[in-house]
Amino acid sequence: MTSVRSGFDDLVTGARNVDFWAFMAHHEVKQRYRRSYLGPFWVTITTGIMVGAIGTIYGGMIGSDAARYVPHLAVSFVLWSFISQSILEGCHMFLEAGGAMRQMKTPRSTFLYKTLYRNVLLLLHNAVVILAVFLLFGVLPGWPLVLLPLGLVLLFANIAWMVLVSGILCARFRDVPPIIMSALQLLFFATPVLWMPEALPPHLSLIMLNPFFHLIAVVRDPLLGHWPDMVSVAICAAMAVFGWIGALGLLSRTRKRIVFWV
Amino acid sequence: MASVLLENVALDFPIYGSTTQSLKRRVAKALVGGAIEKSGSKVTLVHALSDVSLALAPGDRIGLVGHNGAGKTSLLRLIAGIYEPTGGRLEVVGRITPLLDIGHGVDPDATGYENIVLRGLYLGRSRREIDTAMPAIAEFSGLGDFLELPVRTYSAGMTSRLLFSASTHFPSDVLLIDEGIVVGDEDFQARAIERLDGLVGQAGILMISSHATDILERYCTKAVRMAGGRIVATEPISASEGPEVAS
Repeated sequence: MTSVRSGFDDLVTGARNVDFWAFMAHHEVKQRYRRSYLGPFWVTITTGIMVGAIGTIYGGMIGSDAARYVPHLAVSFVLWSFISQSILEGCHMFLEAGGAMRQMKTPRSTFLYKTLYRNVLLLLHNAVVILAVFLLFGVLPGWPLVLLPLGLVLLFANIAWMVLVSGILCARFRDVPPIIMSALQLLFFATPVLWMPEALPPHLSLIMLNPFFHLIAVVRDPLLGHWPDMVSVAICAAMAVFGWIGALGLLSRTRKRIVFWV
Repeated sequence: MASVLLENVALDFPIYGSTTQSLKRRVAKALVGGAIEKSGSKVTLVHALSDVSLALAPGDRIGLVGHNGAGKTSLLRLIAGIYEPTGGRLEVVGRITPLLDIGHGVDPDATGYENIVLRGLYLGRSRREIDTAMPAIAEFSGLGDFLELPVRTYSAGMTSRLLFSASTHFPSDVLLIDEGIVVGDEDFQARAIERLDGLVGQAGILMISSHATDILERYCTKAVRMAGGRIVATEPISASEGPEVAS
């Protein structure tokens, strides 16, 4: 356990730095849309337009029932945006924090919390699109909704370590950001966002190895009124445990040196 | 009770992506203080600090002197907890305020008030402390209604007034100052020096890195001379002699 101890301490002290990261996250969201009339609701609007356009075009092409396809698309697209945006921002979180790290004593995880919180704020803005689609198509999730908190915990727990690991790797090796960007682009097509998981032909079931397949499923299923697949839940839980052990080990080993890399 | 204790502290840091051709390294070694060494394949290792021992107690007023690259800023960052020593022992007791780069993190599109909050957060203060201090900081800055406007509309002098006012408001046990923080026009400078006197007076331990003899004579009782990442001399400062005498 000693090998993950200093990383764990860093996470705890970083969490206490809430005044810093919460203000920074809010401030960054606000600053980006300052002097625009709609402010951060531009996030909501652009997502709404994407979902509307893809829903119409792809929904028409695939020929599936709009009442099933569009809610699936809205939830999956919003979740995918959260996942990919968080990880991409994670790539730059330490690189951008170089100046701050060199003038104040601060746990490295402060910047992790800032990145996560900022993306959760954006996720909440995008959740409005899901709500609108549900109202439009009269989607009522029913009882499976009680498992939504479980799905969200699994999603956030996994995204958090992924953001941390990509932050550290990208700070050390400048070749990693483009690698991660390409990998995410590929994974987008291997994740049921534009297509529905039922459409997956058996010979392509290897796609189930894609971790994001399950991370999205555990949140999407309860929202759409399905009980989540326990295999997906188990995979997400295992990923969270092993991912965090690895991430804490990495943070413990590199924590002191990150400031010299950026 | 504030205290700072360093025992045989070493700080090495890796520099990535530098071309480590030997001629360049030799030249660099001759020009700057820090000892540069090649470690492994492409990573240059800088011995920023070597074998630094120092024990400071309340009332100590230290002026750090030495050439560029002698390790003054590295030492301040080490004591501030920004860098962790790669060797030796470091113990600091008390609340530390590093005033190293007070211009960092200015958001030109944010208002003066928002930038005061940003500055306070970068100094490690809580929102509550900052909100309580806000009226006093605003008053001292003398910027009045300009604080409602984005900082990009400020003149350079106004920006530095704002940063100085926010940065020097909070008292601390261990105050670490990197050169050149007194700013503004003449009228403001007089008040700034007065403010700095107060801040320094409240601090248990002061460490200033500076080349300016008048600053050192005004605030420091002891000069620590650094060269090549080591402490080479410790000499008393008195207003009549100045730090340069013993070197």
